[in-house]
Amino acid sequence: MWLARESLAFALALLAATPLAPLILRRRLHALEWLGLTPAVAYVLLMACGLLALKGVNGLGLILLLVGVALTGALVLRRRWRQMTAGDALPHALLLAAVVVLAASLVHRAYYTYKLGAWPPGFDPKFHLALVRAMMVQGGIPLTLEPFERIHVNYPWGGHLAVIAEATISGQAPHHAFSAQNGLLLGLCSTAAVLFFSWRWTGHAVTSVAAAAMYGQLMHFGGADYLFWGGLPNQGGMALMVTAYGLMSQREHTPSRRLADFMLGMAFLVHHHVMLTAIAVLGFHALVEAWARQDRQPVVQGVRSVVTALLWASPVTLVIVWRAAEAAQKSGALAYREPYHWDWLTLVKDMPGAPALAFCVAGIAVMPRVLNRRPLAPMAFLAALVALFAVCADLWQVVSHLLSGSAVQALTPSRFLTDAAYPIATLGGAAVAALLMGPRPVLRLLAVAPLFLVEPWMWMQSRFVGADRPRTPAIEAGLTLAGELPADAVVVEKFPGDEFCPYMLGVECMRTPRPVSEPKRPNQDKKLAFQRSVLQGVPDLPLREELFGARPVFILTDGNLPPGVTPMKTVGPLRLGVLEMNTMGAP
Amino acid sequence: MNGDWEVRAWEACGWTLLISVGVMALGELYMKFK
Repeated sequence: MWLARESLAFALALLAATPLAPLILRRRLHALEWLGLTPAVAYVLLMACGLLALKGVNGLGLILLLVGVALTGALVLRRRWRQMTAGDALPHALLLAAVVVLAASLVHRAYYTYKLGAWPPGFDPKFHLALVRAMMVQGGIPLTLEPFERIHVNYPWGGHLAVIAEATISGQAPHHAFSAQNGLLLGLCSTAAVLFFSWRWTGHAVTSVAAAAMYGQLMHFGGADYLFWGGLPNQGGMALMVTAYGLMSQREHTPSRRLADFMLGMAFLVHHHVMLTAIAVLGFHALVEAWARQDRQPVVQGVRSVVTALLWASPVTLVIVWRAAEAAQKSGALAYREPYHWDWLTLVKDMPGAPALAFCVAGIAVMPRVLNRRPLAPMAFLAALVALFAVCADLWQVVSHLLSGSAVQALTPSRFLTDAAYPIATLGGAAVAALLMGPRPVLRLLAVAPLFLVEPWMWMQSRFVGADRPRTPAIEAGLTLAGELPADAVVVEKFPGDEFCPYMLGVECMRTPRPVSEPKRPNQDKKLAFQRSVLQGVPDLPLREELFGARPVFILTDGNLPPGVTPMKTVGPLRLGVLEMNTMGAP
Repeated sequence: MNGDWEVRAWEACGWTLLISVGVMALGELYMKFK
């Protein structure tokens, strides 16, 4: 039920975005373009709605706004349709295939999103939902992580805006919107973005539809796996970046170029790792093209696009630039030990998965023959990402070990291989197209289809079995306390799933989940020491005074309340108590 | 064909891929025997 409500909320944004895509590009779109571009436009619309929601517009207001955009857009499009230049027609069978591919990509995603439940697994959602709550408490764009920590936020919040918008429209708590977007709805955006990117750069319908099927069905990390570790900003950011990259295939078409720069800016607003990836990939593409054509124009255009996108994303880029030196020193971004160990077998198994990798290698070999040309974008996209991984993971590891004796990586390198899923899908799509386009196509389709239908279920079931799933009774109970505590309250938490505490309660807790790219919390050790002292029944009063002054301190635990704590309420397995100001401290 | 420049660019990307995979292999070997 919760997933259906979230899906309906997103469907409303899709409805509003449908007439906008051709209006923005000022021409009738090819069917594959329209299908591929609309979900990304819908996602950006949701981001805009998130800003309105933070400023107090309620769910009904957002629904009316989206319906109004849909109706107005449809009326304007109807009036302008005749003046718009027509695109090439697409055979009905291929259009049907594209729709089936997009729908098929949702089936296993929906099943496992529903099976996992509304509370997202993995560590990352705990931080993202804390940031969502901070934005809701602050009622705007978060420059600091208050009320949880009095420290700045340089993490991009564009995707969090879309979560807030969808939660406002659906009328459910934001973790429902997070799980639905990350597990299902952004999967649609990403699959559609691959369809769009592949069509724009190859101009080959069978390859494009096959590429979407590759992404929707076969891609592990960078594909269906986002659901199991909570990489919503990476997924949303890459969907927008891939869409922008697709739009850049027609840089001479002014509306395409403007929309590309805007979409790229929105991608930057959603994820700073995507910003890094996009600048590297587009820079590499421009340099290779300029070298091959002996013309500096691609570099000039590339720089112009990136600068324009940085301006669109300036609320985030200014903070990142302002805090870059501090983040480099105090965060683990340049001295990161990936918990993920990549031996060669793991690389093949997880990133992107053996079948997808096999199709990709075959695709590199056959794409020139299938298309009768060599489109630069998918190859440059893949080459740049693999090179980034080689430098930030292996080379950085060797150099840091030689210089300091400690082998570390830089910039979460596994994410570059996660992002490689997108060009791998396009290249692999050419191999699938080559397989399908010989004699007896139906027989060929029947030979390939079982792999695409069965493999995603096998992969997702294996990930589902090992998923780190939150223990829901305690966190469900804790969520009912939201709004009951004073705004300046401090909570000492101790129960399974208490990393969700900042999100659930909207007040300062002892631990605020933070990603590795963010500077460390200045008072974290002291807060943990205070937490220990309270739970042991000997609260450190000088530390309380130093950290929290006269603010009320509450304890939320699934165990017995420690001595000196006055019981207030029991919700589910959790007990809430208040630590009295005159409690005796440690001797 | 869309011109010779696409062939040159495609080959440059291919070499980048090969060199990157080589760097990854050497890095793995270094970490194994360091």
